[in-house]
Amino acid sequence: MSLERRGYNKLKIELSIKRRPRELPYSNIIVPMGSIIISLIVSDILLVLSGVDPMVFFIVLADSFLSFSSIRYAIPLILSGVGLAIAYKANVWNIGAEGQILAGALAASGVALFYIPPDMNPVTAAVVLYVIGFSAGAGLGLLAGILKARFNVNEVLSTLMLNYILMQIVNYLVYGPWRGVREYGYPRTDIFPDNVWLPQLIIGDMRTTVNIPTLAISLIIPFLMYFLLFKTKWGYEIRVVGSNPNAAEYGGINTGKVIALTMIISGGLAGIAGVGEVLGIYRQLIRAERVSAGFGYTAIIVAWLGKLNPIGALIAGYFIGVLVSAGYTLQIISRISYGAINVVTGILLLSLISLDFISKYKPIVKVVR
Amino acid sequence: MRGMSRGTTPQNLFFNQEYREALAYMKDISKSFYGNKALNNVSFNLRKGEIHVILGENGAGKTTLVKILAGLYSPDSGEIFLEGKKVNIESTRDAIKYGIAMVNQYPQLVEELTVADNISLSLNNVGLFNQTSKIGDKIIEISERYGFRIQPWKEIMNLSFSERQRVEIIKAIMLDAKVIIMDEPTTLLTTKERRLIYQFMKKAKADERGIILITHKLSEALEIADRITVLRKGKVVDTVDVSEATYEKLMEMMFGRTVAIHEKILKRGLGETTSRRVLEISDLSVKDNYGRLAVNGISFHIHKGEIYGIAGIAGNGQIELVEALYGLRKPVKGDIKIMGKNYWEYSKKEIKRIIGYIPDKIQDAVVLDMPIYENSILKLYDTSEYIRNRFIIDYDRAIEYSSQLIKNYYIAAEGPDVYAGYLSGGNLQKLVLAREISIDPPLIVAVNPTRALDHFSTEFVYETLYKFKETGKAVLLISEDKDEVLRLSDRISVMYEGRLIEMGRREDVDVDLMEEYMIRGQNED
Repeated sequence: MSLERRGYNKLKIELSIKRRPRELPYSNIIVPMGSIIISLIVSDILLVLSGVDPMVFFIVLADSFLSFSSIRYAIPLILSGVGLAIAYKANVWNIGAEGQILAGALAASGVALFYIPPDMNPVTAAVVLYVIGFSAGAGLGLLAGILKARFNVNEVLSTLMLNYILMQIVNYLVYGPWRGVREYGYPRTDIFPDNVWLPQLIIGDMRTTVNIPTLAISLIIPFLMYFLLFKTKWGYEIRVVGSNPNAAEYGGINTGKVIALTMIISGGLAGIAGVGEVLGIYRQLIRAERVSAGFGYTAIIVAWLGKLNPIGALIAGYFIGVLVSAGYTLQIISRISYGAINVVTGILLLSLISLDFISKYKPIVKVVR
Repeated sequence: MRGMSRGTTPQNLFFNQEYREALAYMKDISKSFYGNKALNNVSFNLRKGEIHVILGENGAGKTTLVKILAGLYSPDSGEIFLEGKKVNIESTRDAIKYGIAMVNQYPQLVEELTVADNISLSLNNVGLFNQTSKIGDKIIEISERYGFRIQPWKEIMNLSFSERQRVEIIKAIMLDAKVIIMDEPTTLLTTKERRLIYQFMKKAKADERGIILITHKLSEALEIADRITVLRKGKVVDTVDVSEATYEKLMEMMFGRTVAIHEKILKRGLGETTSRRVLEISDLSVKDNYGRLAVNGISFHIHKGEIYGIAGIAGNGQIELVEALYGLRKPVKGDIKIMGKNYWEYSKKEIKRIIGYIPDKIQDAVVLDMPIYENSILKLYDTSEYIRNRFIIDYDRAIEYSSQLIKNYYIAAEGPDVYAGYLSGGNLQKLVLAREISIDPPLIVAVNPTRALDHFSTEFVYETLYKFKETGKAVLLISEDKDEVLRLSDRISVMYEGRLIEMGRREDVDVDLMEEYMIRGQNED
């Protein structure tokens, strides 16, 4: 009776994994960088296959690194991405940044149209509207947070469904009661009064679509949130709850409060992004698909690409902003649809997850007979 | 095969009848954990059709040795031969392929699935279509042959501990294992259940299989073994035939000297108790996760300067009791008083600070992906000691504090910024103990506080708990290890099916009776 001769004569490939005793060194840098490189190369191959000159993609990309349009897209991505990073750090899976952006945009638009007197000081008006937008996004987030903390409703489902509800509300308003009288029947509200317009950056005589106050906020918030997460007691609670809920309960941390807090922060920051979009760029409330434009979903990639670190999300947000901007340019110069850029972000997320896995686990491939 | 010419194989091996015929031969195995030598040049061989007992104290290296054979650990050095052929066992999958199966001390099964599903999973034939119906018949056939009764369609969560163990055993047979490793299989069994396991081992032996039985019970070794290998502090003392072994001889091999265990236990004097009660529990009932009454109207109290020991086999309500005490679970009825005050007079946070708690699952008390210094302030992070400017955590102070803990409690870590996840189970246990005792609470609740510890760390923990109590504090010790309870406690009781059986002060405890109560809840007569 042999131990080995038991019908293992065919060649077989065995896959297994082993947890590494430590994460690979520098994985915090190598993983995001590696996944960016992989996604760019794979995407370029796909573009070449659809008839684009291989260098075009990289030229457009390099060009976008220095364009204001990239900064314009980076602003909502950074704000929502940082917020999501905070929520994900606490193991709260907020997928609702899209709806929270809309909530912020919707609330700010309503107040700007109907409540802000035309003679109000623009600075006061901006502060009021940012607060309103933050509260609206935070409120929507908190709703999902309470459902989770109190009734154990899965936040992935509730936040995702709230996205569609907000989308329909915005569209109902712009097609219905709020449709502008001077807009020739287009589905959008009237232009807001001047005193609520957020000032745009002007370089020489070129007007950019970058609005200064929201840009400033999106540059400050990541550092503020980094401080919150790693230096304060609230950040400590967030990280403990996210890493080990049992240990949190053991240590007397109120998990429900932490869930609510992270939903308020992430929803509120997305709300501010929404305010920036309507007051800083469009100056009117338009169709939902164009206000949030998928930023809320793309921000999920921003959060992960930044390794759930707020400052990482700042850098990642800028990079994804570049990609989005490059996508629009590519569409114009090479007749490739804008959707092609979603391939890049999709591959980016895939390679990010795979590389992250490899940095933690060692894959073992064996051929056995 | 011309094995003689192979460079890796020592020549003498092939002239040595014994080793050539060995079913499994482990040669010069060494293994260290964090600089501690767990195994030091250990050689071991298993013959066909024998029950080979590996005997040794806790921390002697028994489990490490068999885990290497089962592919759970890889050795630092040494070789493994199966029927004279050198093999490389890198994973449990390799081990299974070579016909080596391990029956775990704590069976690892999927609670929600049936017996057949669980066995099917490990047979690696999970395909597009469920093939468990075929397996069901085979399970019944095997269980009848070996004298177990098991229903393949029952969910694991409805099985008792010994039934779960049988599932693991049947799994090993279904895998057609030639080498079956059993890690302390009888610790938590009643006498009758123990007989069934012995019966199984004898039948498996008759089938030409080799059985490795790990135990620290001398009587068990003498009753069932063909040969006995004694390990002490990571080295082989000797391998003897059971015919040559006596109780005294094995005792001397295990401990290096002849000491009766009971003498060792009673070495310490009893603690002076005062009348001040730190904890008073009356008529407490608690439900478990499935809504069953796990703790059924129990009452006891603990004085200042006293260790109260509750012995009992896992799953008799101990966890529910301490979780209710620590505020993680709401009691159905009953009163808890701490330091003379009613439980509800304390806030949730206060309870966490007046009770130092070392839980059974130590991972529930630490955050593995945080450094030691962040773990060391888990209960104090929002107290004035660690908070500056109302909400900023003073991490410098936390680092300093945790460096102290590492030093004073001999935690094997390079420094306070090492992540808790890189610590061994034993060091995690020490970290939690260190943290809980440093808070200086009036009461420590410790559940199996030395389970993951080696011999020396165990002694250290005992010493620490003892000193703690001598400062006038109270300890509630809950343990599956009756020797541990007997050694440390001033007063003892046994927990069985949610009820407490008072055994009285330590010097009055009838050890045999206590064991009876632990296993059966009543006296056999």
